[in-house]
Amino acid sequence: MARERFVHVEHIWGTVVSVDIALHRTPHASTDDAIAELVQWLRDVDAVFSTFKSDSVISQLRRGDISEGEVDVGVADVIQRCRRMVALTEGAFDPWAVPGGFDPSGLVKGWAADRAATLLLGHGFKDFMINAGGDIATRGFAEPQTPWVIGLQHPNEPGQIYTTVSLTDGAVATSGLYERGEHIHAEHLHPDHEIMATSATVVGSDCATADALATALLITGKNGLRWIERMPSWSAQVVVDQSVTSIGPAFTQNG
Amino acid sequence: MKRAPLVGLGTVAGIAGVLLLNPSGGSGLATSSGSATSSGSTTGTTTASNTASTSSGSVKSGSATGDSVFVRYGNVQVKVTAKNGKITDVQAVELPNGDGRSQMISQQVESMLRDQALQAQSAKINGVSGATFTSYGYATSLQSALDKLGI
Repeated sequence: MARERFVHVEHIWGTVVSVDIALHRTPHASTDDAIAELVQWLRDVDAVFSTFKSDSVISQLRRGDISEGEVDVGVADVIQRCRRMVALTEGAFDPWAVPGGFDPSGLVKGWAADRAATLLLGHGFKDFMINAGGDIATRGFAEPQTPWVIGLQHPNEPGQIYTTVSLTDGAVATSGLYERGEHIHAEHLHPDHEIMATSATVVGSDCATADALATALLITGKNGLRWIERMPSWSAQVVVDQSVTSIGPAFTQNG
Repeated sequence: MKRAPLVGLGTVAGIAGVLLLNPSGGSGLATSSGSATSSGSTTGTTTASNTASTSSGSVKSGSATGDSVFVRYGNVQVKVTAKNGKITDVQAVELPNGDGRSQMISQQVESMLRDQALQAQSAKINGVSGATFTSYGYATSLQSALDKLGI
């Protein structure tokens, strides 16, 4: 009997990262090597980016033991992306403004999902979904000619979804006050900002950008949707109490 | 830009499967991000297992039990009852129950998932954005039960 689906769930980073590989176009591909490599890489990400590990590169940066010029290409890439997101979000997303020093946690999960997708493509897989604690990168199709369908967590009713988006090659990230308790998410936020939204979802081509934008939109509320207007093919949805505001093609059919 | 009331969007197209697969004292869904307070893994492969009692393509009424899916803290298996193509009940046949607390959480989750499944009528959803926990065991078993029923 042909395998149709391969699912791997990894408990890491204090959350869950799942990899769902559809095998309809690659029925004979071996998943073992790819998953082993991917899991090792997820652990490396934790070792490098965890703000909870005193010997991580990020902790060393925060303490000033090393400078931003002394980091490897992966960390340098994250720093560069963070800089771009500070500019794009007019400072709403600012890892340098986090108390305790540079904290890129608001972008790293999505960045890791993007990198994991590249890793799986390199192993010959065409159709898969990586869900890094709710930040999702997809490639190809869940089933022949059927895109991946992602439910968006309802911000006020835990465990329920309130709408869906369909993705082939893309990413979706959601930030919500419900996620880990109100104050905890705020750790990664600019201390001067007041949080305006209940939940924010961003859909686009890469998960690192989606992740950072979702965090920023949580702070600004729908005012930040003007950033998305300038980004062709990107979409966003902001929930404030009982009101939903959407922009972009991903939400057109669900409006 | 569009505005729509959050309640009554009417486009709930799937189940937001949520499983709190946490042993007491284990890594926290409620802990802050970034730390690998625990790590472990689950791997599963689903196969085309259409082993419902009838061999015909569509069974729109009746009950079917989904595949037992191993997740980190045990197996998840659900039983779906349908009438005329509509889900009328979903019961967890098996949920992880390593200790008292896990069992309590499992029961809470079961009731939540059951409600969602009844509401959403379908597990044809591949993932949930914003959820910080996994849904695979439940969603996978539910899907295989739905497949058997031809829903």
